Amino acid sequence: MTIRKTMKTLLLLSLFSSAQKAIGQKNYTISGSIKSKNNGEYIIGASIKVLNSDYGTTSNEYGFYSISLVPDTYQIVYNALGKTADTLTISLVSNIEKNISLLEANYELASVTVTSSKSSGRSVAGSQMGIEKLSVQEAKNIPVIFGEKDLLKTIQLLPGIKTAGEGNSGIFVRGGSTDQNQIILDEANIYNAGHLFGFFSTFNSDAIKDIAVYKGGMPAQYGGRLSSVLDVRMNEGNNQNTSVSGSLGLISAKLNVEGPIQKNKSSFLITGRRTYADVFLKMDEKYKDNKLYFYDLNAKLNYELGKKDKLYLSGYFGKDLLGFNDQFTTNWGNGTGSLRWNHIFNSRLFLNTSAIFSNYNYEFKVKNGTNDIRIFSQIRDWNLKQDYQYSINNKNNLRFGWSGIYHIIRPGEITSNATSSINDKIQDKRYSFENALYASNVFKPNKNLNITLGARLSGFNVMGGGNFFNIDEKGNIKDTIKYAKEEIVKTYCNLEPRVSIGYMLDANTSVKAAYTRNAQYMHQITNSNGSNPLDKWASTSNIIKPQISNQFSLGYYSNILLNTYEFTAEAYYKEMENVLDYRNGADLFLNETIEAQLLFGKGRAYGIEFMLKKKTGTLTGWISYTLSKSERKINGINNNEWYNATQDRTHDISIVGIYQLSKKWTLSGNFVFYTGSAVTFPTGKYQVNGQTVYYYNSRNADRMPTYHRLDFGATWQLKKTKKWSKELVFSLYNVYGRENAFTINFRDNKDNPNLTETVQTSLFRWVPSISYNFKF
Amino acid sequence: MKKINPIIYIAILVFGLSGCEKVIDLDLNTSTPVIVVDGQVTNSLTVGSIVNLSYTNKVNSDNNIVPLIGATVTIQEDNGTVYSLPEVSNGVYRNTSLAGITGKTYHLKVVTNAVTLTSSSKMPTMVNFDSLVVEDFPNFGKTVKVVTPFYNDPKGLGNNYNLFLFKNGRLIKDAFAYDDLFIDGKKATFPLIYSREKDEFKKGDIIEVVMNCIDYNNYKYWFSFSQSSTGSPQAVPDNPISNIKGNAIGVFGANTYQKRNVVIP
Repeated sequence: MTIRKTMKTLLLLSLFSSAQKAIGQKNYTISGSIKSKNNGEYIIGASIKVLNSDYGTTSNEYGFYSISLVPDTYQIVYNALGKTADTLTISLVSNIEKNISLLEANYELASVTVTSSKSSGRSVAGSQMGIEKLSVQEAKNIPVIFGEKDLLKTIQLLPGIKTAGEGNSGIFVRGGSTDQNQIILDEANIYNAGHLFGFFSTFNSDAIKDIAVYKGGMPAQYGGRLSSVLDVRMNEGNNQNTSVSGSLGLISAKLNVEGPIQKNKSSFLITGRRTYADVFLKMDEKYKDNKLYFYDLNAKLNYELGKKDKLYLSGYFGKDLLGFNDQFTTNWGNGTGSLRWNHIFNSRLFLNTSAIFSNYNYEFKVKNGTNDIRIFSQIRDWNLKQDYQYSINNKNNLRFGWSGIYHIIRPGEITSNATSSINDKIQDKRYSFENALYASNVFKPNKNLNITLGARLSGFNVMGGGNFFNIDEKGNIKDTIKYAKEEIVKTYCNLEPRVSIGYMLDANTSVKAAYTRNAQYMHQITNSNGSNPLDKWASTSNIIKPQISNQFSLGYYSNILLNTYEFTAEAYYKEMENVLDYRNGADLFLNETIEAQLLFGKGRAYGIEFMLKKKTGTLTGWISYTLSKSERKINGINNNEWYNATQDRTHDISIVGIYQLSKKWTLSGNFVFYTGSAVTFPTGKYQVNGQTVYYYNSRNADRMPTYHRLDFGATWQLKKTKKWSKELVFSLYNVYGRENAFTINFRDNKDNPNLTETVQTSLFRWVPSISYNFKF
Repeated sequence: MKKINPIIYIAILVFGLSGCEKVIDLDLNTSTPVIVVDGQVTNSLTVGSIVNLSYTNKVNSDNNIVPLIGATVTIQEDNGTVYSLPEVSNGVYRNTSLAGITGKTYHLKVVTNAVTLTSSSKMPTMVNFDSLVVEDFPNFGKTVKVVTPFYNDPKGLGNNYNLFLFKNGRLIKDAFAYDDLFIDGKKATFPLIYSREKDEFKKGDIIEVVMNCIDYNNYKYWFSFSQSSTGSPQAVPDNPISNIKGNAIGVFGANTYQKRNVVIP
């Protein structure tokens, strides 16, 4: 079988570095899992260090770790974010299992202190670069709009990650568009990560453990998007005690229940959230027939089948509903389910098998005179994958696996009542397979050097079951070909190398370099920046080619003053192929030949990112600065010349400070400042048929005004015992009430239609909020 | 059709309760003036055939047209008669005796200062504008009056329509361009929803609707016009797709012309 052959080659490729391992000396392995003592949650990314040596590792996504060493007596230090370190002395004469439970670092203050890893400089060691991690605990005290904790908004304060718009949870990573971010929740793809047009993210922070954002140097197990991977992990549920927590805010209420099913063995978690802006709408006679809310539900069950097996079942369901009388009603939402099975073959080999389902759909109903029209669209994924982690010896750690996704897209379906003017129209479903094989080896030849060598082989089969088109340069259909469902229309294959090298200059300083290629087979066709629920996903086809990116990055990392400060600088250059844009005058809505509406081209993005973080003390926080450029060159736009991408923002500064005033009070503030987005303003106007028409001649040659804003937050701990915790969180968004431009439009002056006026619309000035959180 | 926009508009409206709008001064670049063609041949002798020629102007200037004067404008019917359109006022070229015939193609030629501009358009089959009715339309908690044109789309794809709305003789600045992709062979019953509050229909208002049957390139123009040009917040910042050949923008169409009116009760 050719697949097996390729797999072998890949394995050999990444294994070659292990050839030079010490021969004749037998290794033994220490392995096990790392949990939190307080709630039994597994800890991701806990550090395991062998004292007075170069060896060490970190726990994986399931809290599992494995380290191979030659026989000797070792002192092993276990440590993790916000936890008290634990040191064990181990005489290694055979493979041993050590399951560790770490205590909260400072129980009294746990929920109000930590802003960053207290373990020694995470970003300095290893070869992984371009990663930002954020736990809910870290994000907790940073003020956000509406007082609604939102990880997707908080990560926008980190270098290289930019907001897609005011108050929006959509992000641009290193000059890429929002659809180039792979957003996964417990491994399931989330196709629309925004509620209410992106003003809230789909992630209820009460259910989330942490989030890792890969801006570059993506490990080989990830693939499918060009710009970033946002790996979001849900809590597992407390397997020690049943606990209830919740919050009441101005916008939404949340409730979280978790607890053991069988102590130490199994647990559950259910978290729900619902907004109640519609309750206020009802109070107003004018708006009382309108509907506007969203809700979401996260649930998780996990069960230990034995010492070597563990099952996780997690699900997410969210829905938005927006209705204006009977006139328009629209609802949209994601639903995901993941079943994962961890199996430990032996102390060195760990396997995770996942079966994942993901669904996104929207429904739009219009009542228009005698017309009752319903429009529906859906994207659905079935995904099966296996991920193996193998600790070869004390110098090599191998990770390999495969993934297969079956995508089914229902691009658009329009149906209506009998009296309607509309003919029913059901567009052909689109079927495709997205498969990948990968292997990656982390090789540590000596204490200073760390090399990760990996590759991902991705393939995409466009399957039949409908009409496919050939189009000419102008987007007119040349011919139509019908394919049967089992026929392959087209196959694409890409080899994506993932290489990174880290070198420690001294104990506190390192430099790293990485090269990553990514291929993207699913594309979002959009003409808005925020999250529009009607944005359409299209799969790669005979005409739409996979998007490809090549990214080179270089970084410098330093821990200063005994890890009090951490300084990071990263530079990147990324080129992109086959990026899409829509044609002028494109009708993207329910268009059968979506390809005919698109234009293809290339992109380039480069920049440098700096971050200085203060990690300990009563005052913590960071300053981040990004200088960057992002451009596109698309045939048919801007005379086929390079132009600024919408994502292009020259300067972007964020300052975040959290100050612990006393045991009861924590104060926080953040300041953001960035260059306005690239936009197109008219360079002339004229009259056609008695209407003023604006003339445009170069794409994105203008800028929105500079954006800046200051927010304050305060957390008041009302009561805190082992059993009870209550707090009040206050925040003020946009403290000095800056009217930041959301849109700038041109129109005839209302009083004198013979003149044109430029109108700036801004969204939020002084948004105060208060919320009450409790836990028992 | 402005199909997607209402939702975004609604979202901004709902969240924008604390937002605000203000008029600002903006320093805009100005491109060198470009010739604008706005011409049509109709099948109506009262409207006749008219071509307006002008130049683009600065955004911050007034809306008065900068006319292109002294051009030679002709329209040829198929391969036959060449009609000339004399300049009846600054930048307005007109020939009232040229009424178009369904199925014939009209070729426009404009010559000015050594620049030649051309365009062609075929006059489509006329679909009868059956009636115009007044209907109630719910709009953010209140009911407003709208008008709905009724016409029966003939079976077979390829019919395109362009509608203009007038209130008491004054044009309402919204563009309505439809194809028959979704309504093929059916009776069209879509109300014409105007976007500006100041245009709201009151009792006694006389509402006129002009319905043009247009060819595909004209549809492309007016559809992209409705999406891009009129400065709405979701507009695509690009020029409508012109069917003029040569260094100019704008549109030339051979359209069938029908008009109905109704008084708001």
